[in-house]
Amino acid sequence: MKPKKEAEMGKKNLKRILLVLFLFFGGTFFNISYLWTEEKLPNSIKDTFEEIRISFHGMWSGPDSPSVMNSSLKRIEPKTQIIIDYARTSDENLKLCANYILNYFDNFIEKFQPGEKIEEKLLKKMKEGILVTEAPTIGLSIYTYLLLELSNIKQDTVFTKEVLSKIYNVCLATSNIFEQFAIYKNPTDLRKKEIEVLKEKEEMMGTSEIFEIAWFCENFMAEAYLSEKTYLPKPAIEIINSYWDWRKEEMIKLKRATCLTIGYYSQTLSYIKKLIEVLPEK
Amino acid sequence: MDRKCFKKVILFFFGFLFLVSIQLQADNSCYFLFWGRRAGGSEYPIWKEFYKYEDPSQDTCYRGMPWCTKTQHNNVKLKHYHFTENFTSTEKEDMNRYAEYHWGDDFDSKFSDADSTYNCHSWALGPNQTVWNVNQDTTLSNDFVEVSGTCGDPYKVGQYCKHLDDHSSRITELFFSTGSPGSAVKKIRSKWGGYGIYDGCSNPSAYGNVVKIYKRK
Repeated sequence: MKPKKEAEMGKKNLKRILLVLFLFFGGTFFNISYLWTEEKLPNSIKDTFEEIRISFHGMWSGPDSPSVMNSSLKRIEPKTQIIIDYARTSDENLKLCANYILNYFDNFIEKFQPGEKIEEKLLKKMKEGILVTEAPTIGLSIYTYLLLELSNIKQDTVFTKEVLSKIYNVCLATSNIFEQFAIYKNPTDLRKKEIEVLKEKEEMMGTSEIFEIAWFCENFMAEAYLSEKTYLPKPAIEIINSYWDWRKEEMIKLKRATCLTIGYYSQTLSYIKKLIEVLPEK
Repeated sequence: MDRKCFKKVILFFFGFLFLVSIQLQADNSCYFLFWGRRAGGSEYPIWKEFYKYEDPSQDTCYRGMPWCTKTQHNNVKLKHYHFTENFTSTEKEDMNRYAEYHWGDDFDSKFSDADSTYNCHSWALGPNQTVWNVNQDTTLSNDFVEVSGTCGDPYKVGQYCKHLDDHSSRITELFFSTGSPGSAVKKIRSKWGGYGIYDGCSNPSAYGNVVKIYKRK
């Protein structure tokens, strides 16, 4: 009797072991496959993001010709369209694309936000010639464009608030880099005084990157202003309307109705700040 | 007045002057991003500092100087930018290469190197070729008159073009002396922002077709 009982016990134990092994490997496999589909952006899309980042040259010709932005956008459109088409295919894909840019922005903000000291090594490279792949501000504006496009597809106020907040903080961090770059290039009392005055006024330092971001933000507000149906709440629409009232006045003064001059980047971004304040948290 | 007191007065006076001069000069600098292309094909950003003067209600501009850019007729103050840094010789070479690579189809030949000190409007229209004129419409309406392109008022080489997207150029060759501006102009000479001056086709891809033609008043 004893050996029979032992044999039965052995069988039961073997079954238990097999069950544990099955659960362990099965679970691991399920987790891996789940993570793979949930969080992984295809490499080809990642590569496209990087290509877009380093090859968009914005208002290359000079600060007086923001309309050149249109031709720069057109030049890169085949690549940006790949991202937008991919994001349109499902909510999950849109989330993956948005997270790619939001994570990129988070890293940038964390490293360069106001109060952070910019490494001298970086400032030296920026002065003497930095590789485009290493230049931290390259790509911020075209990523802003993509993020705002994703926001228009998603049509979700909470997401739009997050997007605009990140964009605004990216501008603050960019300004911080160039404030320190200006002093690094020209470490005089006069330059330090200029930066102090800028900070007292709570203004950002003007740079191409910020001018371009402001231009995309203005286009975002233009789209909301012109569309008959919008997902944005009434207080946000009121802010956008008041922005366009102000812009129309400015355009009449300038006798031009085509594009933004860089003189307005501060005002445009101040309206973005107001929008962030009125959009709901959750 | 004793010596000590005199010293104090002098010190106070110069201190005051120093503070006033700093305050006068405290203006916001900006950075503009240009692009260069090395011989190996890699491209890189080039940031140059400039100051913008976009409020004509002010009397002074760069470093407290009297407003330096006004139309020749009516003395209307023009919005403008002062670049304080020019390109190094290597940067110029790389910017020429960049322009040639990206817009080579629009150019026949290079007339001069990249230069940050002036732009297309100030090169073609003036009035000040040491700054960036960013007030094309005001300059044209005050110092220029539109040419109608008829037998009585034909287009001529040397006249000035306004392009679709904020660009100014001078005509170097014509198809016809009459007709619509876009189909009459064959070749133009223009400065491409901070890049060089190029001779090329009348409808450069980035700046668009010629939409109006002007002559000086």
